[in-house]
Amino acid sequence: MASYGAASTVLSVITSFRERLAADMRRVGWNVINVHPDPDPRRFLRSFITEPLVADLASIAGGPHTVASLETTLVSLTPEVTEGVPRTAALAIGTTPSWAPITEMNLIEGRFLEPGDAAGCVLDQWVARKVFGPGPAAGRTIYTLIGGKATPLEVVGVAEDPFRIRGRFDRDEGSGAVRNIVVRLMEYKNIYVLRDTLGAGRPILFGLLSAAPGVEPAEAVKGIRERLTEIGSTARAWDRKGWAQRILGATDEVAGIASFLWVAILAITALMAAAIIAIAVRGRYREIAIRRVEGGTRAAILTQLLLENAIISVAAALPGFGLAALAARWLETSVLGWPIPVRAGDLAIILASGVALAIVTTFLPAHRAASLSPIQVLARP
Amino acid sequence: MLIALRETRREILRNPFRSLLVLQGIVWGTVMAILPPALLKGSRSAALERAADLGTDRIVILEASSGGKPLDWDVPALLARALGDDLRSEAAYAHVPPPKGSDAPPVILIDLGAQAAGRRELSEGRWPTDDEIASGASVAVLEPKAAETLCRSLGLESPAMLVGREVSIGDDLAPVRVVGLARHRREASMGQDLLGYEKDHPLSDLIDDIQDSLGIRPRQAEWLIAGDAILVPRRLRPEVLPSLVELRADPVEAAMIARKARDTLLERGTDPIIFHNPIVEFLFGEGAGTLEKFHWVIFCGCILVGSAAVACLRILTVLERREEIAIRRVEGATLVGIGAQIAIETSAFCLAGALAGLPLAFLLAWIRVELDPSSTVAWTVPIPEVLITLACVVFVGLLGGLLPALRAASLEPAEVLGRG
Amino acid sequence: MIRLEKVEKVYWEGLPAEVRALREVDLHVGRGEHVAVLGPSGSGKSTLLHILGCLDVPTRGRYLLEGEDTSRYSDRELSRVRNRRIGFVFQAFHLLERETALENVMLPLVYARRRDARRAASDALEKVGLSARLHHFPGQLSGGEKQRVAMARALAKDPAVILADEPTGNLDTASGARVLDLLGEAHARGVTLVVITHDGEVAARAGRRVWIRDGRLQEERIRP
Repeated sequence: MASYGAASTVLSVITSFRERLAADMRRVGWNVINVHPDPDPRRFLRSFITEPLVADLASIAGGPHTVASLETTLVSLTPEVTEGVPRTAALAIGTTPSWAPITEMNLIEGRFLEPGDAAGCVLDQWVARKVFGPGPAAGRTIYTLIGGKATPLEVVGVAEDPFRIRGRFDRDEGSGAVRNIVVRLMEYKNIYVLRDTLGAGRPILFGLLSAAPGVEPAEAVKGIRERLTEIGSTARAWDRKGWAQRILGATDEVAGIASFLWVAILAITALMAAAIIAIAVRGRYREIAIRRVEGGTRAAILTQLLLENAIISVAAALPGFGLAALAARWLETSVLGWPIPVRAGDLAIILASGVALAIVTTFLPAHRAASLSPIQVLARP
Repeated sequence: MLIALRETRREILRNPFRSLLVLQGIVWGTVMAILPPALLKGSRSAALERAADLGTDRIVILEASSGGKPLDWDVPALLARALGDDLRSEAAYAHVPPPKGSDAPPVILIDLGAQAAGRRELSEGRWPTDDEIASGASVAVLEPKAAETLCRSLGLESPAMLVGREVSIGDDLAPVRVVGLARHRREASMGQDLLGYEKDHPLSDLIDDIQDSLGIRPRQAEWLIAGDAILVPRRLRPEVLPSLVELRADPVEAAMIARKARDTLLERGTDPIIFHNPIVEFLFGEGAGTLEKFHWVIFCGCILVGSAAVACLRILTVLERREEIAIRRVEGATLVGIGAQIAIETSAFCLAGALAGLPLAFLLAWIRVELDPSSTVAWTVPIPEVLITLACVVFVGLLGGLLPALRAASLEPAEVLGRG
Repeated sequence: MIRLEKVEKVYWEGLPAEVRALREVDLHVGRGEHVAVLGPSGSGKSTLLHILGCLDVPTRGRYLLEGEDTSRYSDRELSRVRNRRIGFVFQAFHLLERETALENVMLPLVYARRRDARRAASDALEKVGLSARLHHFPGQLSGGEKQRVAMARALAKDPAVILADEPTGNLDTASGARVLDLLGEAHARGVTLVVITHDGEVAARAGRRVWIRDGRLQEERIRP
């Protein structure tokens, strides 16, 4: 029963994670192509991004485009560091109003930037929650460091976090691994301002292109890379759809390996049960011999024993699934933070696997018992 | 007790395969109890006690290319003021590569604190004094590969002969006098990169690919441990600004210090890239704490299931042994005595499973360490957890043994011995 | 009805432990006969019973039951024969301890897929005087009652032949007599009866006695 519960919980977590991640990845803008300088310092100098270059590359993709400057910043409710006042690091993206439609940004509060919003900003949901908690952010003022100076900005909108899978994993930036600015941009812990707000003289570190309807982003990227090679630029271009699909592919591989875990749980339990069943069957040799004397065939005895264990397995599964439902609820609310539905399809897979394992592991002792000579058994004292 | 232990041994030896199958729950439960603490404690201990070797106490700061205020030579002092006693040492460096086409060694400009922050050890000579560094004296320390290059070019028999000699660091600069030879930095001599990953590990290529695809190679800092440079006081090239700041701090606090350093630099107007050994943040963070609690939950679940399986087995074997039990009762054994014997046997059986699980857990820990290219991942024998696990297994085994004990006690000797 | 032709049963043939349990046994039992098989311990009585009951097959020779050669039957076919045509009564009763008297008697009927299994079993128990014990477990019955349940199980399937191995061996005199009466009643209804026994009184009820010694049928006495 516990084994069914544990296996079902594991499979539900794996399935829910894959589904959640797949759904989230679709929200990063599948028509979007990122263009940015080469992070390798040996090639950085040959990979500058300029507005004319991005416009040229946009003609290959066929859709609208924009550019951005980037800077790490601190977002706070006060201009000075004040004990107890929440603040968080974020990536400031100095861009144009077309950023939102190109990335298919979904605003859960307010609106995106407009040309007159020099003193305004849009926060990613993750940043808004860090600073304002669960309450509304639009219309409120935050302070952000730009060039070392605490700059007040009015929040005109909050963009929905595409990564609902973050759940309870909302730790701080995570400073352990080296992550360059482009990697951090895709983490959606950003604050969006107009380019002039960040400083007109700042270098352009990002170009955003959109593939026109009917144009496959991967194909557009090929053409863009050819163009960059032609002009001797080492700037990088990649489509978000391909990036997301690679991540999902890798996740599927890991999930496949993790699936081994629920199979292992059932298999180990089946082996334990098989050992016990072997002894239990031995205790029934006399009964089996009498059944054979009275006309029970080997097949009938074998079928009876296998069915008995299959039924026990099914009977154990039902409360086990109940346990799994409880465990999934607890994991959802207390540990992981994303919905973990316990689906009938998953349970059916677990049940079929468990019953199949029960039958397979019972087969040998049952076969041995059914094949015994009744006269030898009955002749024993 | 002795009878119980003897019977348990007999049972296991008579049916070792069957016993092993039934004990799977106990075995894997023990693995779940021991494996995580073995890895966590081993890695934490390695991170703290071998910080100098593994670089787990080091935080590296680079400048992002976003156009913010550049780093300068005052940044270490700024961070020391902001972080106070949290910082153990700090230093800034600048990397000056040789001109194109030249095979001269590169130059690293150093400032005060470079020896402490860099944990630099010398094989010959001495480190420049604080006065020499502060005044920009024409002195130098050679890293091993730079010493070999110069030794060859000057036709000397050994690099040690370079101490006291003058060497050139650029056509437009006066020669400098070599005052010392440095040993390879610990990370380099251990074959590690700046993030503590082994360079020749079978999975090194995979780590490189992942880092490349995400653009997170710390390439711009590899020169720090390359071991091929001439170290000179930075005032010899006053126009050059630092490109890297190195901090040393308690590994437990590394993540917090990195965040504070980032905030301080942002307030200054500098956009930093800050990194340290990535394993350290997990080891001393919330994630490891959650794992520590979670694995006990799984352990308890496995042990309960495992002991239930053992109890089932014991009930069946009690029935097989009913004649033996009846004879013991005839010869004077009490109900309580028989029950206790069976319960102790069950507990000893479970303990045997736990003892089988221990080496399995250590083997899996060893495999995990061997598979990980990060040198910070290590394992140890977590004595308290081992003792707690064994005690829990014995106790749960005793509880599980109650049912078969009751079954054995309920057998009437007359009824059993009277059957044909 | 029953014909054994040069039947041999050899265990571990060709090995040092070889045992020749039956040696060239010829036996003919006609329909409706009552035959007692006597012989000392180890003489091959049980082996003979096993062959007759299709619990075992001869090493050599033929066993014809109602004209069919069962010597080369498969296990499935032997099971079918036992189920439909042969009733067994053992010295040790051999009832299923975890099933009631009624369920024990139903056992062969269930394997035969008879729809009237419950009714037929109930009737059989009534015939042996145990209608008040239908739902008792063997542990709740006396020795005599257990043997009568075994009788009911044998009779319920309407067998062509009943094989009884020391049917009164574990019973007191009164219970044993009752069981013998039941066997006699079955014989009177036309069932062929083969009884293995040490007991002279049991053998006396048979119409024919067969002796077996060292695997051979030594002597046969026919009482008209």
